[in-house]
Amino acid sequence: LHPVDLFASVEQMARRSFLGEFELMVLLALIRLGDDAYGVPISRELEQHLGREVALGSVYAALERLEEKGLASSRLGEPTADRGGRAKRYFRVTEDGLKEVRATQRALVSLWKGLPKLKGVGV
Amino acid sequence: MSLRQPPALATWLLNRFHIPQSNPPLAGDLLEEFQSGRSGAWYWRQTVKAIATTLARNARQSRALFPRVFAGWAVQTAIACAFRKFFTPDIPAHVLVPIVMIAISNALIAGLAIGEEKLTRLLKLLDPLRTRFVPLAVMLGLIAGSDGELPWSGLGYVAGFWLGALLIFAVLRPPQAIDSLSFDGTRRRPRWLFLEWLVQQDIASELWRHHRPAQIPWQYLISGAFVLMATLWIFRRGLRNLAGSWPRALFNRVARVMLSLGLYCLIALFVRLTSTEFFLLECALLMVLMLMAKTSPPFPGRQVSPVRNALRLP
Repeated sequence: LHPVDLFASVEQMARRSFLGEFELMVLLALIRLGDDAYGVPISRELEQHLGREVALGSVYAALERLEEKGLASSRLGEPTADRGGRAKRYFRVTEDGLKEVRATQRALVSLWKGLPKLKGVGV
Repeated sequence: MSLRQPPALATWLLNRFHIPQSNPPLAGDLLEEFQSGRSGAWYWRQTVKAIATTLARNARQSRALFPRVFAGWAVQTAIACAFRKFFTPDIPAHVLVPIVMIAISNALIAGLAIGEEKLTRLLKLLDPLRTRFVPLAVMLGLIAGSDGELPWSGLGYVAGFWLGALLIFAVLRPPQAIDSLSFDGTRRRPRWLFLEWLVQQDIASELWRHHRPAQIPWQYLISGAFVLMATLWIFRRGLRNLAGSWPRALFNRVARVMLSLGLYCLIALFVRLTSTEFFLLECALLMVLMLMAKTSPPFPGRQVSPVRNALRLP
């Protein structure tokens, strides 16, 4: 690389490719919701299973990261009045996303199987 | 059926951070949830988290700015320290040094303006530091002009300013309109050129504040008018479309030189230089720039490297 591209290569090096915990949850919510997945139902689905409030901003940030990684795709819907004239953005899992979820599931199941019994946490 | 209105201040904050523009579905989701019965407190919490998330995302996207800002600040500080240690005590710095620094920085600007190949190549190598030359000249001028009284507070000021600028630019990012501006017609890193301009404006305003208006000579008034004209012109709405054509590119560069001209004349107030020297020097430079630009081919603009282009860096 030319010296002038030093900072460009630093930025490229910093990119991650593995799946984070919240990203995995969002991917699973996308799979559960199917074609109707946009910000509101995704966050409600997460809230229902996590038992706590989920920030819509965090959901969108995770969805954007998933799109950047090619694990999810999106399309715009029609704007409606109760949304201030703003369109919904529908998300779906891509083939790569499904593969990533399966790979993560395999890894987690494998790790759980080999785990010694945890003391004092009721597992 | 009338719709419920979400908390006005929270909505104002969302708008202030451009969330409805940058992420319309998110703003729509917030409103939809609020209309479906969520409380005002819920809207507030979601607003704060949406803003925090957006700021964090912008910071991540601007990661490459951090080493650049640090490198620029470190070089500035090192040169200024060396300058103070080796030169200030012995020479009438308040007379000589600002003129030399002005000559250097303006030669760099002139090199850019006329597209001088070797200088342009050198500038490419020094690219991360390029936009610091003018602030460097400003800082050295302040140190020199202080006759040894100001330097460390001056360094602290510059360090504080750059760290603040780092935060502002890494987190908030300038509006899109500023991002698409080009001061020198090359569409290269306008954000940094804008930052340079901010530095100039900041210091210039400090100088004006500490000066007694009755003592302002006519040259400074003219240069102040230049600054005002250039500033107004730069912020005209249609400017973003001007960088492509040759006369407009020339106008861009002249405007930038005018900014420098006004700035240095303003600095002269503080460093007690002869105002006429500054004025003549800058006018001469401006004339040379204009003459050279007229006889040179249309500005070629510098090539963006394939790697940077592929990564879509600014």
